[in-house]
Amino acid sequence: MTQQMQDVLVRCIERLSAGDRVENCLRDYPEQASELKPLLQTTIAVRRSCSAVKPRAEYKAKVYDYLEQLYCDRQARKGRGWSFFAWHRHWAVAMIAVVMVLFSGMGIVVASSGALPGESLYTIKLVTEKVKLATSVSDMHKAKLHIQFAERRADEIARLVREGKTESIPALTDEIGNQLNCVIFGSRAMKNFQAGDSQLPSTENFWMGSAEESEVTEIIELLHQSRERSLHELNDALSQSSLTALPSLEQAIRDTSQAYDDTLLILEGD
Amino acid sequence: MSSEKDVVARAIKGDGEAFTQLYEANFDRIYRYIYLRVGNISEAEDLTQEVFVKAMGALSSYRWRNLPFISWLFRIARNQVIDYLRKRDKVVTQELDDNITLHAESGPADITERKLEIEKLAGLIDKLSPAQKEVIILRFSSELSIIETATALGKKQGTIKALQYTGIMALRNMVFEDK
Repeated sequence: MTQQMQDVLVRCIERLSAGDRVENCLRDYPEQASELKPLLQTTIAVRRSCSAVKPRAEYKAKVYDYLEQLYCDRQARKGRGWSFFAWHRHWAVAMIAVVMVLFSGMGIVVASSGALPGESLYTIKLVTEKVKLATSVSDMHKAKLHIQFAERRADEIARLVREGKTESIPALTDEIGNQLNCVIFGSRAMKNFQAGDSQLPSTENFWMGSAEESEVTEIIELLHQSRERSLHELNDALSQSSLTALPSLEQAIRDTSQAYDDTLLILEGD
Repeated sequence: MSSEKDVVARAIKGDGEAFTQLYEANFDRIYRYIYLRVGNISEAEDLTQEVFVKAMGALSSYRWRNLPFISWLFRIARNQVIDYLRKRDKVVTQELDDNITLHAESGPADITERKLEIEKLAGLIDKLSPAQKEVIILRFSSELSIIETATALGKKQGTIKALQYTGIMALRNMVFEDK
């Protein structure tokens, strides 16, 4: 009976949307009329109030202008190859990387790869990651690095939990989200966004908007694999977690899962 | 007249007119959904803008699957809202902003009356269960069909029908108790 009533209600709501009147619906369903009438009246009231909410005209126009600019930039970028400035910037950063390696020594860089937050080599680990990103020659390669770094942060959380250290877990969890956002928007855009320099990611690193279909497919596949490994690592740490670390770890698992799902949702375009 | 599938395909290829069409057709509905979920104009504005920026960034990866384009936008909007509410530790509707923009063609008395209506509605919707709330907002504020709502929420159509029914019943009872 209830399911029948649900179907009748759906049909009547569709009729009201098409401009029909409540009286006509009630006439066509006399057995349900007494129950149907207040429900349809409530529906009309809800819809009437909802339809009164509109975005401010100036805000809507402003967002349109912004998106139009992004859209135009993206289209222009599709047909553009390497610009002189892009080449120049990459070359300069590559030189910095060479100098850094010469002065710091490869041994330290390698040793830092296993460092955890709070340890002296951790800063070198992060700088090395930044240099890798800066010297990477393609957006596709950058995206792969961001996925790899997100996974590293998950690994670091798991290791910290095993060592009973919890204070860095929220920051590392946020960093997983940041790295995954960079897969879509690019690292510089996200950095500016977080620093409050721009309201939204800039167009310069909006690479996913102009990526080839095969590239997007590959990134999606990598994200699925990375998601599985990261969550496996975090869930594995659950059994070795102290009671005090448990809430932070559980939150990290939820947030990490959500961050991967959000990124995949956007790329898969379901 | 072009089908939505054609419009989306043209927008992906770089047709500015098609992009404008998609924007005009979907912006208000996404904004309304977000506003009723977060209950604050400036936050609703920021989130709506973010939804469209994200959608544009991922437009080239969009695949047409015989579902309206807005279902895809709502999936993004919904995730944005969930993320926002979780981070801010907020429970959906706060007091509505004073400077709420109303779609009223008449004078100040009408606007005040409509504002009270919206405030009351938001308060009532807020009392629904999270699942009912989402269905009622998507169906009546964002004007999604049963199929579109089911797609946007990743639920079966039968579940949406049941949630719509119980949601309207609950609203009706609340209004009745109020009088």
